[in-house]
Parts: sequence; C-alpha cells; structure tokens
Amino acid sequence: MSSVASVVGESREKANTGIQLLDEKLNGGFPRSSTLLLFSEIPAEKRIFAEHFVMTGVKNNELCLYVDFFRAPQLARRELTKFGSYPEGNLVFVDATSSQLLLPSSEKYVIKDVGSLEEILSVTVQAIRETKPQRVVIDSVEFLADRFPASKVLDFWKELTTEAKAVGSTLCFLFINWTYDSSGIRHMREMTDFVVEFQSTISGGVMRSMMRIEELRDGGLKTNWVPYTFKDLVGVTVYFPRVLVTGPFNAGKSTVVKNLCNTSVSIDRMGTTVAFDYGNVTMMGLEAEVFGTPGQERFEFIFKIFAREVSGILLVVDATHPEDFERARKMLELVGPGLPFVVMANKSDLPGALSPEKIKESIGLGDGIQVVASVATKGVGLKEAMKVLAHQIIGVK
Amino acid sequence: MIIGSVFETLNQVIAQLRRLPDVLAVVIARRDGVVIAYNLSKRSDPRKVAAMAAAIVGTSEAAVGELGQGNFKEVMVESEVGRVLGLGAGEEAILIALVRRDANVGLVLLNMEKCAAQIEEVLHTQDGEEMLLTVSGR
Repeated sequence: MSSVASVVGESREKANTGIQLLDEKLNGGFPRSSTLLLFSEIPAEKRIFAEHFVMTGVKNNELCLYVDFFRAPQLARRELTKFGSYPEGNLVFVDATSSQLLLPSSEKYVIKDVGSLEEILSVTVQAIRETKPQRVVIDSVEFLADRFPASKVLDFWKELTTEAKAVGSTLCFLFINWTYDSSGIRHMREMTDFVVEFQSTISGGVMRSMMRIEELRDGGLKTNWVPYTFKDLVGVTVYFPRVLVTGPFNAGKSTVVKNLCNTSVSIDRMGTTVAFDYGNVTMMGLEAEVFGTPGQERFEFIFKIFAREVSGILLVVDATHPEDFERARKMLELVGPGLPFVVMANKSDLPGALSPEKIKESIGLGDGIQVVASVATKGVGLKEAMKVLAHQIIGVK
Repeated sequence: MIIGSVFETLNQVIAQLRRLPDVLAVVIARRDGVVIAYNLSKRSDPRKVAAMAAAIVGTSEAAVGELGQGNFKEVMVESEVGRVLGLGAGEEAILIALVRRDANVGLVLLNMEKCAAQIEEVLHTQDGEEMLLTVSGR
C-alpha cells in the first residue's frame, strides 16, 4: 500500500524517487552518476523532496550522504524519523553545522570552518571517496552562494559532480536563486542532468506545493507542474486536490467514487446523488480527493460550487446508452476547457455495451482521448482509469 | 503577507469564536469545499465537513436567488442536539459553526459576522493572482 514499499525489490540501476507514478515517468528513477538541481526562484519547500529522495535510498539499503549546513546531524536524524524508522547506518552526514553552533561533533566528517570553501570541498570529497554513496545531497548551495564568489562556487559544483560521477552517485544540489544572474544559472544548468523545480502558491487561504521535473539533454522528458504533499511516515506524495467524477444520470458515478476510494461519503436520496460524493484514494504514490457530481441538469448549480481547482476529470458514461454521450460532452464543457480527462466506459459487462474503441469514435471528443472500460459495481477498471488520468495530469513532453 | 501570518490570523478567528461557551466547533472552508482552517472534534473529518458546508451554503445561496429573495445572509440547520450556522466570508470563503441547541444564536451570529469580515480581509490581502510565498523559514 505504501508507495515506498511497493517498489522495493526492483533492480536498482536507477535512483528511484519512491513515488511510483514519477518513477514510471522516469523509467525507474534518475540515472546513477547524474546531477540533480533542486531549484526554486523564491523560497519554497525543496528540502522535503531532498529528504524524501535520500530516505528512499536509505530504506532501499543504499548508502547516502547528506551535507547539511543548516542542521546539526543529531537534529536531522531525529527530524528524518518523520519518514518512519530507517536503518541509521545507511545515512552518513557531513556535519557543517556543529562548528557554526560551537557544538562538539561526533560525526566522522566534520567541517570545522565554514568560512573555508577549500575545507568544505576537501571534507566532502573525502566523504564521497571513502563511503562511495549512492545518493548525495548538498543542502544547500545558497549557503555557499551567500559567502563565496560565484566563480568559486561553480568550481566547487564542478569538482563535486566529477567526484560523484566517479563513484556512481546521484548528486542533488539544493538551490534558491537569490544571487546569480542568468549566466550563472546557465552555467549551473550545463553541469546538471535534471532540474526539479519547486513552487508554492496560495489561493483563497489554501496552500499548494508543486514540482516539475525536466531532463536537460536534448529530447529529455519534462513533466507538467505536479502538485504534491507530505504524508507522515510515507514521505512526498503526488496530490490531486480535486478529481471530478462526472457524467450523465445513472452512469455509475457514485459507485465509481465508492469503489475507487478507500473512504467515501455520498449525499444521495432515492438512488440519485443530490449534492456530491466525496472520497479519498491512495495508490501508486498518489493521493487524490475525488468528488462525484450529480448527473441531472437540475442539479447543475452544484457544478459551480465544486468545479474549481480541478486536477482532472473521470467522465463516466454508461456504455450501453450511447444516446447519453451528448450530455456527457456537455458536462465536460461545464467543468471547463482544457482539463485532463479520461472517459470511463462503465457497465462494460452488460449485453450491448459498446467497446472503448467504439465509444472513442462515437462520443465526439477527438481522436486523442483515452477510454477505459470499467465495471464500477465490481471495482473493475477504476484504478486503471485513475492511473491513466494521473499520467495525463503529470504529463511528459 | 506570508502564509504563516495568514494561518495565524485564521486560527485566531477560530479561537475567538470558540471562546463563546455556546460554540462547539468551527470550520473555515473555501467556497469550493476545500478546508482552510478548523477546530473540530476528532470524530469528524474536516475535509468532509468542509465539502458539505460548501454544498449547504452554496445551495442555500442558489435557492435564495432562485426564489427571488434578495441577498443570502446565513443558513441554519437544526438537529435534536444542536444547530449548524453557516455564512459567507467574502468572495473566497465560508464560515461554519456548530452551536448548542439552547445557544444564544443572535450573539453567536453577531460574532460570526465580525469573524467573517476578518476572514474576508485576511484572504483579500493576498487576493488576485495566485501569490508566491515564503514557506520555509530558513
């Protein structure tokens, strides 16, 4: 059930993210011997992803190195229990904080003077050479950028990427760009294989965090902005704040919500949804809040309430009732243009049900659409449809 | 305004209402049913309550409009043991309070209206385009 557990045991040629949906996009994860830049233009929560990435490695029994300029290792170790218990021996710190706090350090790798970039480099390089870590996090470059000239920081960056590549590490730099102009940033990107960009927004008192992964080589992948959240003891999870389940009357929307979700509630009377269905589903490193709408036109005002911040739509149609397809198209328009959607050809086990291919031809929503056959009453095709929708939302160029 | 102070203000608003002896629970939700802040008993799922509150207030507003009854003010749901009061808090939010059956509803509503104005103000200061914010302190 947990996303982390479900991928353990696969081959570890790649540094997986532990978020199954993202690992699928990345063909298993980030390549070994690659450099990641965890980047934001303004302060946003990058550290949680870096921590998640390291802890995924630690739980896979990889050796990971964390170079921390902001937290003493004993504090970091305690904070990292928010990812659940872990084998502490797999996590090695380069302690660059104790000396700043005038505290003694019991770590093997200690930077005594953070005013010396030479020492920072030599201790970190020594740690990389001796421990041959599979994952390395430098937290963070802005600490260095505040103290040393840009050219020196870029040299430091280059040295570390060379050292990390030599031992097959996946190396992550955290960086908020306070300081550098576009040429400095360009230089950094040239030494980077993947940029993971972070952004936080607030709308109506509700905060959302998003990330976007871009592979920098020609023809590399690039995802859309992917909303995410942190779940205690699990880690970073892709999070869709609203997946709308809609479609014509009696298509099976409420049953989809009920049988897709781990927990759900339906506000229905006399067999029809009069307000909404709500449920919450966790699968493949994804959590989604699922809202089912009523189908009849007389309840359309409900749409206006819930058709906001929609990540994607599951458009449920009764595969035995093609005469309702026009209504289905109209309901899709009602939610808004340009949103990711998947058509669920429900009741596909009934006699006379049209095949997904036939529905694709006849529903009139274009050739590029995805149709998934389902039998909501038996739970067939529900998670499949959700997965197809999730991949559409995350997207990839 | 940074996000920390937005939530601080909203939690103060909730605390202010909870100080009234008749008020048992408070939820601030976005109009589309996303929970913003709450003080609820552990038995209730704030996400479900927020979605239901949005449907109650949204539907009541729509009904008032459909019936040609002017502007919506508030909605009251009565049960055997208590009352649920709901009203709009600006363009973005709604405010819901659960009160005792024998509560001084007038007093509670008066306070809720004041709080709704405060919520509107704090959410309005970061209105408009989605604003980017400082999240982590260090």
